[in-house]
Amino acid sequence: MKCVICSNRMQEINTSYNSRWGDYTLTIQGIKAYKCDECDELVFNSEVAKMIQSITAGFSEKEGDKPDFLNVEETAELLRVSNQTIYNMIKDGRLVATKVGREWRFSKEKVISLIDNGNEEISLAAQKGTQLTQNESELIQKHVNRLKNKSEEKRK
Amino acid sequence: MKSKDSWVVDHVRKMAARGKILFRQHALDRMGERKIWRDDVLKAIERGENIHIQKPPTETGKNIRVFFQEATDENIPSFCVIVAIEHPYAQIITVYYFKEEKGWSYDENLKIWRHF
Repeated sequence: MKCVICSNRMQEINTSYNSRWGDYTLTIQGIKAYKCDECDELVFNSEVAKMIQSITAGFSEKEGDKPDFLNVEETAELLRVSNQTIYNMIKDGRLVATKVGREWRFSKEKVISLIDNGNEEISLAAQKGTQLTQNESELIQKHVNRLKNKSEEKRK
Repeated sequence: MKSKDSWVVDHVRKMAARGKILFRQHALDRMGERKIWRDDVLKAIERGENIHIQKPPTETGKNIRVFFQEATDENIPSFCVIVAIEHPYAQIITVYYFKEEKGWSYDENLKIWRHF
């Protein structure tokens, strides 16, 4: 088979492919394709194309739905604080958490609303010596806004 | 009455029906970005209107290229599929939305996109 762009020979290979679905990207390995010796363009058969799209679209939806519940690390990352701060916040009741087995779980919605409510809780946290500076508060707010925009876009 | 080029369109459709259709990386990338499903692209080839035929040599190849619009009864067709014939396969070169490209206008009466 020849490449329709440069007319050079194409040969069958196993390769990885950076697939996209909207803004979501996924690298899939072990994909059968034809590759042009000259222009390096890949060509996929119809079934492989279907499989690539199904996997990528499936993962993109899963990614969007995923963190309804967060663990300690994810919550700390979301709030840009240490794990210890999260444990402190659970202890003094500023953060609502549920213990599932030996692990703490947090509602993403509640963590976001904590910051959303006029930053009162963040100010409180800073007052109580949990090391949240103005800069950190802004960072958290920025991150939360980004998450909110993302979920709003998804809803649309 | 059939046009003298209709055999090309029939040929591409037969290849699609036999699974002799390949997707170039560029086409699959564009489809992914625009969230256009493979099945809709195949439906465009099988049932969509042929809107243009580009005879070789083209700027980027020596193969005849056949343009199809999306197969839809309800809405204005939104995307275009370009297929090049390289025997024994047809290769989908790209897929794009008409609104993104210059040189197309929609004929409301005939319900097809025209290249100018």
